[in-house]
Amino acid sequence: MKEKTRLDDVDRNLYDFRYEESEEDFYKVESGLTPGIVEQISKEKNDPLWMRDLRLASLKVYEEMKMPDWGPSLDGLNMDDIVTYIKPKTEMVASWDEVPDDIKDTFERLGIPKAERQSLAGVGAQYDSEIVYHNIREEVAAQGVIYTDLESALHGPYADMIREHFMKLLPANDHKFMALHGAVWSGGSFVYVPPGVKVEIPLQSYFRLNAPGAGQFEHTLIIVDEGADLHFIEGCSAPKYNIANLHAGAVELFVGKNARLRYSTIENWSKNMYNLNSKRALVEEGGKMEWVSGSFGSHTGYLYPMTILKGDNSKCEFTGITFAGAGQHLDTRLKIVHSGKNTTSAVNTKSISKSGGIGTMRSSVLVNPGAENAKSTVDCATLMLDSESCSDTIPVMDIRTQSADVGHEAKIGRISNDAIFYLMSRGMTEEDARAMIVSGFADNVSKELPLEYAIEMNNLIRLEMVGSIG
Amino acid sequence: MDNARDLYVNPLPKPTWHRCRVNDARITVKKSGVLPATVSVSASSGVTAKMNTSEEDFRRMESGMGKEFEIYGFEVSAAPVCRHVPAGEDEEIDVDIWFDGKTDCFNSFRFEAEDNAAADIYMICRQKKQTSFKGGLDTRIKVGKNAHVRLIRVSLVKGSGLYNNVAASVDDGGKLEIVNIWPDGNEVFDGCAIDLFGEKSESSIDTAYDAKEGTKFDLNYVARHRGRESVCEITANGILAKGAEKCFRSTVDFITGCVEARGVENEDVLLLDEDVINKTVPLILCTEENVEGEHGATIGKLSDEILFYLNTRGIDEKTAYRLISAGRMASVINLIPKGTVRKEIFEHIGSERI
Repeated sequence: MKEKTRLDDVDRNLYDFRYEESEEDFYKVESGLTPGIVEQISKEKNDPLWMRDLRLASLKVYEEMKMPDWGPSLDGLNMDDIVTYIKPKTEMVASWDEVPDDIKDTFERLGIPKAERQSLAGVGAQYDSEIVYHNIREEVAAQGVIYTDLESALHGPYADMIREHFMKLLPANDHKFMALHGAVWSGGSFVYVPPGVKVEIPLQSYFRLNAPGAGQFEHTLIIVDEGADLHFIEGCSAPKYNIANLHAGAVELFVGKNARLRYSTIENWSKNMYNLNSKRALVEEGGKMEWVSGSFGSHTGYLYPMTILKGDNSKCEFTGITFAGAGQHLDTRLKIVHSGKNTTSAVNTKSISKSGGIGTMRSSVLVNPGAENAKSTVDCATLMLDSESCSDTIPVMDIRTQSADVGHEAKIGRISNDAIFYLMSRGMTEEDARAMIVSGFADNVSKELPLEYAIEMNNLIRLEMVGSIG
Repeated sequence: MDNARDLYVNPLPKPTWHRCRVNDARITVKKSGVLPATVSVSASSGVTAKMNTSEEDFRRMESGMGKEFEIYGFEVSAAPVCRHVPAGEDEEIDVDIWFDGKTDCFNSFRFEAEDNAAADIYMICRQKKQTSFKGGLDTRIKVGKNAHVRLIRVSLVKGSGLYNNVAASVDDGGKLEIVNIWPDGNEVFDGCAIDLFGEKSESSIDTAYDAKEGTKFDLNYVARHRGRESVCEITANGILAKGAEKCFRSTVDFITGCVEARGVENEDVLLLDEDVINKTVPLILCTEENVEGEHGATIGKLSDEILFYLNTRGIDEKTAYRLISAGRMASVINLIPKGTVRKEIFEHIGSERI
């Protein structure tokens, strides 16, 4: 049988690659979760006292809260087996030449330094629990933009700003894994864009979890001040292991008056990962929050970016795609809260299920009393590629003001035989025809991404579509 | 001794975040002292009370209001009223349910339409006195091959709690149409679950509700597609006034094997006042590739275009809202084939909305 050639340029080893590492390469805490471990992490990170107290209070909340009983099974996740902090034996640097060779080579293979040279205003690279590289272009820094690791910022001139905002949008009692995050968070980035500053090209943070049985709990805090503009890209990957890994990061986004923030994610965690990430944005008057999200990886995902439209005339747009393949249960989508007057939200999401994968699109639109003239449109489309798979759409609309205008549409269907026949009659194989149609289905997301990331996303789709016939 | 008992009813087939408070609803019923309402059934002589389906088989059917309500109903209800429509017959069954307005009541009904039969079943709830009481109904229906059943459910009771539960199954080529008219009620909890296990089986649920000041409506409709080429359409048209609260759950569940099934859910809600709570939860669950499912919801005020159109014809905003509200109810009421029933409903709501 003739081998496919168009897929040859998509190499899964890109993501599964890992150097063999020994225990000497790392400092790590014992697996499990105890007050002793939390204090050990706090000491290792030289936390200010308030942060140490926050960690211990979060641990208490974690112990008291129940596991979620409404979503995908978390039976395969045993916190006693998870190592919550692993530090590579290197300090954060601002030059790739100073990053240890094996770590640098990992990021080279993932294309991060190249992307930085070509199309990014700054890059943060996290390896397991710590940021190992952070840099920002001089001209962007000269505009007053701060882009650094969160731990450094905690001890610098922005310490008060961080204390004012840290875990205020996502408090520990929000849910059990937010409490876990509060107890053991490590790494992540802090971005501050001063009033009126428009960052023309994106910043990117890339998170790589390399150790088996480990957890990654990075915290991203972005403040885009009045009239400012930023595009932030988040990428993540991990090699695949036979034991569970856990990602319970947090992203807190503050969008100021008349500011705009676009937050793009291509999530490609390995398929042994429990991805229980939390993201939340607060948008002030006239501000705009844009989410672009592609979810491809993970064994189990709970991922619901939330936007609070607090200010009058604030806006939110969400464009996302989820691709659930064999062995995956991806429970994704969003929450939007309309509180200000004349707020608008527009949601356009797609979901693809294949080879026994389970995709759940869960959403919530809440229009609070007083959110006069709020407008919301939600559009969900689902493509089922076989009958082994499962796809559920579970939206909730809670409307508490008369002048709201809320619309919701959902559709589920399959690839039309006519479309496949048309493409095959023009010389394509069935597999190529299906891959092309699926890429077209995902077009709403790829056209919102910078070109390099759109290509990566399409590559991921082609990877997922290999062997989709019979 | 406390005679109150809490029941969790109208469960979502797949739960979501507890904070949304839509996974189920809670009602409080009496543990004892629940009596049957007065029921009169009229039908032509072709309809019999002798059933082919056993009570055990009826009880095994999954209902819209869920297990807790079913068990409660089995405990407190008197023997069910049963009606059987023989094969090939075309019948009309009128079920008048009179609540005395003093005691809480519970009644059960079983209907079956044999192959190629047709039946229009009118279940109309009325009350003798306008007082506060709670009425429970549990209705189970089997629709045979190529049979066609229309179930018209109307409640003309006020100031009361109405708990209305339906379980139904539809065989090959069978069709079940349910029309629900809820123009009143202090607390209406309604659940319907239809099992479309037959090939080319069809069902529809059309509902009109008018949630007046301070009232609460909680609806849970589920269509389970098991048969190939099965079809369902769930539609709700509603109006919410000051302080009213409504939760509308609808689920289209495509189960493996229901090849070429189609399911559609639609809801239109008109909000008349500021302090209302409208919850809409339209689920599409799917484990079959070759299906078509669609959901649409429109919630909010009257569109500016409609208002402008009516204003230009001399109709002020308040009248425009009344007109559109009445129109929404009428669009579902007009699905009822029998003119006398339509007339009674229009007379009931006429003094208030039209």
